[in-house]
This record gives sequence, structure tokens and C-alpha cells, in this order.
Amino acid sequence: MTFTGIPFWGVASLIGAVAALLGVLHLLRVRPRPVRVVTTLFWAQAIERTHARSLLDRFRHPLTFALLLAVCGLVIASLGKPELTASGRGICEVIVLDAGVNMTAGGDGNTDYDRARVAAVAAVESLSGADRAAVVVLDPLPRLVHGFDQSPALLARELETVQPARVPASLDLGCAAARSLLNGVENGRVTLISNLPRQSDDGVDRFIRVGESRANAAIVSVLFLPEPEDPLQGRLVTRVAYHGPAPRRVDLRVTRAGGAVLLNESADMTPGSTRDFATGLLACDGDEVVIALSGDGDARGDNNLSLRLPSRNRIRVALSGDVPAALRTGLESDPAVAVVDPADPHDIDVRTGPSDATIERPTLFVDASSAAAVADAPLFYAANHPLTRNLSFEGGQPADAGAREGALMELGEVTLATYVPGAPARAVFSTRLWSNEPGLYRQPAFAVLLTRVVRQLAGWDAQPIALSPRRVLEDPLWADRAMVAGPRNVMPAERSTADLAAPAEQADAPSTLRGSWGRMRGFELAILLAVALFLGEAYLQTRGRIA
Amino acid sequence: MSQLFTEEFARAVHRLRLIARQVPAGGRHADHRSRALGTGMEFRDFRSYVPGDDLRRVDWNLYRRSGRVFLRLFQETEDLPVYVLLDVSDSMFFETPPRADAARQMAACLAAVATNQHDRLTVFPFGADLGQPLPPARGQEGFRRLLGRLEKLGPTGPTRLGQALRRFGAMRLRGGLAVVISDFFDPGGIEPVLEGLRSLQHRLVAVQVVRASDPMPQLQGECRLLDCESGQSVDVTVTPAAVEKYRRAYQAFNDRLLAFLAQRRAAHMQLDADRPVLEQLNKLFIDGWLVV
Repeated sequence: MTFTGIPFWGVASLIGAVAALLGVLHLLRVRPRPVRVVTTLFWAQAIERTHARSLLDRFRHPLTFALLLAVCGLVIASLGKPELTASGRGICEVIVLDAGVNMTAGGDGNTDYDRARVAAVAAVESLSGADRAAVVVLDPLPRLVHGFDQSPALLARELETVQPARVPASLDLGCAAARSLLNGVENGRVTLISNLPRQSDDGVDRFIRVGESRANAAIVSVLFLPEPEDPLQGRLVTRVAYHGPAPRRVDLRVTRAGGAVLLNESADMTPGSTRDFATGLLACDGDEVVIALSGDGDARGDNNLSLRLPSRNRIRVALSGDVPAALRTGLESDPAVAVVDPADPHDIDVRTGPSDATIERPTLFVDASSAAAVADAPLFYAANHPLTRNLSFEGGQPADAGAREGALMELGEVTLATYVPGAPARAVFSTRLWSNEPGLYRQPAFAVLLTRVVRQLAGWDAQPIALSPRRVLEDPLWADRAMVAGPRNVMPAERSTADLAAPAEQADAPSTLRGSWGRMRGFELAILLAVALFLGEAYLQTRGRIA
Repeated sequence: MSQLFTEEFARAVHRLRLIARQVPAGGRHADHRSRALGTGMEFRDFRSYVPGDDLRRVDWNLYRRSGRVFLRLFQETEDLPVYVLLDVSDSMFFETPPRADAARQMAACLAAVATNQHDRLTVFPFGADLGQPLPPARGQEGFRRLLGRLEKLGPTGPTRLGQALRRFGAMRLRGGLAVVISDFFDPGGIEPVLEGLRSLQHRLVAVQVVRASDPMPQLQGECRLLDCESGQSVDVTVTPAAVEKYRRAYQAFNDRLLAFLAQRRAAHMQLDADRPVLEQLNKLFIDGWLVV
């Protein structure tokens, strides 16, 4: 309903109709019959109490009646939600309602989802008659629950049937779905309602933030650090971040799935800080571990994880062909390696001959087809290769740019050792390594290199292992996340300490009463004032202050 | 005879008597016993002679037997001053028949009774204030003149009953009988009326001129009630509930008036203006006697 769209003759007709109505009412007004009586003493006493108690008698006076008429007219007109704006074309608005696990937060009996639901209904009701709205709920995947053509009166009931998901929702998917609904629509607008901080690149036209910035401690990463000396063991390191207005205490508990406690530690954390909680040495037995971070008011989605430790058994190596005895000795001296018969199940093959990429198992080749060695040729080894890092070979020279790709060790033009990553990975050791330089493989550095090569072939990693924990709460989108702390984690990890101290306010968030009043339209304010004036007049008349 | 006081009326009031138990001394000789003992016909007592006494009243027979001089005392009979305060405000002349007719007939009746008993009756008409008294009725000629003056009385404006009564009470007249004939409607309510009645130092008779419509007005719908005296208006939606409230207010007014009169030991009579006065005289003159 837009008043500005009414033509002049329409306005004139409206005024005439109102005037005619007022005239009829004037003619039909109450006209008391004059009666002369002996005395009005008793009538005055009789109606004194009636005036004080009967509100209807107030309407007998013409001014009061006119005021009542005006109030009724304004109220009736307000039912059409009139607007004084000149825009005659309606707005198509898609409201994206976050219904992820983060919306279950809330401390006063109402969750943030409840507040978001109310905000969504209010946003739809605030639209004028020509506007249309659709609502997309993310629980956690985008789902259209209210179409453009549906009645706004049904929205509240439709949203009551939606329950927040137990995982964080993908706001990006929701915004993309909203924009797809507005394809080819003019005056389209996307409104996002969430309790998460607004992303700078979300592409929404209006952002309504519900809830408050609360203190929250969350697990942002879980690493397994293998023990360098014994890679069959390691420590589980859990990194916890804290966002909040004041320092607080967090409790982390790591247990096996069977209940055995591996770690139970508390720590005081300052806002914007992180802390690592490390367990003792754990065997890489592939057992399931549960990590729970306790704290009132924290978002549950971040703080209950389960994961499996790396599963590491001894590397089974099968030797076939004429393998040098020094290599066999070196392998057998490694506690993580078990030399088995080629007919038995094994992880790595060690065989002689040139490298063969068709073999599907990680293999260490002893290649006798290398070029002849040059006398007194210098020994070079790759200094920046992960397998030779921090190793120092006697008589050798670290080489960087000159070394060929994948070459670990070269003697003149002869490549002594090469590692070729891929699937399957393979390593090639030249026979020259064992025959012409018998002293080289006896060096401790070479033993370390051999150990690294074998573990690399077996798929072991000496670096910390970023575990992929499975949340205790089901998360179908978990496969899309590289880390626990993704961009849509409940923990606002991207915010700085300064931001944490002073949470950013959303200018368009109707979360305060002042904001709600500020959004009141002039016409609604006029109605409110008219009603207040009417009630005040009735009160004064009841009190006998005015006639 | 006049329209107010017909022959039939005169015959009816001829048998009525106004009896005062005692009248204060200082009046004229009449039929009522006075507190004074003097030269009447009925012997009452002896007393010793003191110098200056009238020797004609000495009981010489008693002197001869006792040797002492006594005077014979006789019951003195004097008249009863009757003051009729007659309401002649606008409200008394408003309706048809006006309440003033019944009020004036009542005043004439009292005047006739007083004249028959040789009592002095004075009529004080009042409205907004106490007016000049009509000349006392003495003898049949004076009574006729009084009737003529009563007939000529007209409305004098709004009622100030309380003020008129206070003004009359301040006149310090000889103690007698004050008869107030009025509708007792004072714009100030019942309190000024009671205050005025309280100021009267006379035996009191209240004649309240009423109508059947007073406690139960025959009104309906939206009315703008105009006071016949002050012209003030009151807008009323006459509903059964409003009528009931009116009736309660009127009943409270009457209850206050009757309670005061009972406390004062004053006679009270409700004179219906729509009925003949003669039919109602027996409410005041019980068996033809009004003992005050």
C-alpha cells in the first residue's frame, strides 16, 4: 500500500468519502432531549459515580468522539502497512537463515536460532505489500522452507519445525543458493541472519547478526608428533584457542574410546591466545581417541572430537635377488624393519636391477647398470632434500642447485642414490655405493638415510601428522575440511586480539531496543502517539481534570 | 371564599385543634397553658403574700383560719405563636399543579386552626432569602386578608432554604411553633437545610411537599436536564441503573432529613401535591389534634 501511487481523483474521492462519513456521523450524533426538572441535585449525584467508572460515557463529547474516530481511522489504515516511499516496484528478498550448530548457543533460555527465527519473521513482516520474500534455512545444507508465493503468516510456523543442525552450516553455499533464487529478478536482495561474524566477501546485501559475542574455547587442531628415535610412538598434541572478553580456565580431557584417560589437564587462557596440550608417548596402534574440551557456554560443535591414532607396525621388507649383504645388514639393524621372505606378505620389495615403474609396490632397487665411476671423483649429496636434511657425510660435499632432481647422492657423474616419489614410490641405490665406497654405508649418516628411505617408502612421515579427527557430532561436510579450524568454525579464528576486546557491531542488526525503535516508521509512530493521546485524554477525563 | 380555601375546606378544618403542651409566658390570653401562674380561671396553688401583691387575690378565708396571708394562684392561658415558613421559590411553582398550591392550602389550614384558637400566626414567605412576613391573621377579617395575600404570592427565584432558615432563627422571636412548608430542595444539598433547621429555637413541624415522581422520575433515553431554578444542565443517559442511582440519592436525602427531625422530636408530614390537601391533613392532625 503506497499512498503516493494514488491519483489525484482518488485522493479527492477518499477525502470526500471521509467528509461524507463525518457528516453522517455528525447528523447521527447523540442529541440529548432537554427536560426541565425541579432539581438536578440528585441526578448530579447519581451520574457522578457513573462518569467516574464508565469509559463509554467519555465518547459523548464531540471532541472525544472525533479523536476516537481519528484513532480508529489510523489503526484501520495501518492494517495495510502504508508506506510514504515512492518506489512502486516490490523487492524480492531471500533471507538466509543460519541453522548450524553454532546457532544452538544461548544462555537465557533462548538459543540464537530462536532469535534468528524472530528476526526472520520480523524482516518478512516489515516488507510492504508489493514486496516478496523467500527463506532459505541452512541446517546445514541450504533448504528452501518458504517460497516467494507463500503467505508470510505461515512463516513462523514453518520455522518452528526447523531444528538447528548438529554441525556448522555452510554459509557460502546458502548465499550462493540465495543468489541463484534471484537470477533474473530485479530489486533482489539477500539477507543473511547468523550469529557468526560477517565475512567480507559473503556477497549479501544485508546482514543481521543475532546473539552476542560470547567467550568460546575451541579445539583448532590435533597433531600427532612421532618420536624421532622410535617412530612407532608419538605424542598427541591438541591446540586450543580461546576467544572471549576475559581470561578463563579450560579443561581438556583425552581418553581412549575404552575410557582410559590419556590426558586430563587444565590451563588458564587469556583472550585471543592458543595453547597446546600434549599427551605422553602413545603407540601408533590406530586406537580411537576422544578429546573433550569442557567449558560452560562453549559451542559444542568444536569441543568434542574423536580420532584414530596412526597405525604403525614394523615395516615388512622382502629381499629378492642378489642384494648386497651390507644393505641386508643395514635393514635388519633397523628396529622398525622386519626382513621377511618374498613369499610372505610384505610392504617393501628390495630387488636388484634397473628401476621399473610398472611395479606397484614401493620398491628399493639396487641398480648395477650405473655408469662407471671416475677415480677421485668428489661425493655430493643433496643438502635440501628431506631425506638428507641435517645429515653430514664424511668426505662429501653438500650440493643444492647442481644435484639432479630426486638424486640423493652423486659420485662424479654416477648417481649413487635416488628417491622417486609417487605412487608407488621407489628408491634406487647404485651397486657402486656398496662396492667402490665401502666406507660410505658404514657412516651413521648413511644408516639414518637408509632408515628414512625405507620409512618414506612405507608411507611413514617424520613430520607431525595432522590428524583428521571425526567429530563426535555427525558432520557430513567434514570431508570438505582440511583442518578442524576451517573458515566456518564457530571460533572466529580470523579475528585479532584487538577485535576480540571490542567485538564489531553490525550496523544493521536489530538486536537492541533502540535499534527497533529507530526502525519504526513515521506512520506507526503517529498511530502510537494518537493512541497514547487518546488514553491520556480518557484518563484525565476519568479523573475529572477535563470535561 | 377563595379558590385555595373553600367552604368545604373551612368546615373540615373547623374541628382541628393545635395543642401546645406549654407555651412560654408573655403572650396574649388564649387557650394554651402558660408556664406563668396568674389570673386565670383554674386554681393551681397558694403562695405567701409579699408586699406589692394584688390584695384582690388574697384568700381571706384562709387568713381568717390561719392568721397568715396567702395569695391564690390560677393557671394562666396564653396564645401560641405560630410561624409558617412558606417556600415560594421557583421550584414550588414549576409543575402543574404547582406544589405551591398545596403548600399555600396547608398554610391556610394552619392559619384557620390558629385563628379559631386565638393564636397568632405569621407567614414568612421565602425563596432566595427570607421575605417580609405577611400580617398576622386576627379574627375572621384578618384571616380573609391573609388568604388573599397567600393567593397573590408568586415565585421569587431560586431556593436558599438553609440561608432563609438561619435568617429566621436569628430573629429571636417569642418561642412558638415553626412550621416549614417546602420541598426542601436546596442546591447545596441536605446539609445547609439541616444547619438551618438546627438554628431554629422553636418547636418544629416540617411539611415536605412531594410528588410521586420525586423518587421515581419518568424519564427515558438521552436527556439534558435543566434545573428550573438555576438553569444548570446535566446530560444523562437515563437507564435503569441510572434511575436506581438517582433513587438511592433521593432516599439518602430523605433519610437524613427524617433522622434529623426524629432527633429534634419534630413532626413531619409528606404532603403530596397531586392529591387534595384535605385528604392528607389526618397525617398531621391525628384524630384532629396536633400536639406540639
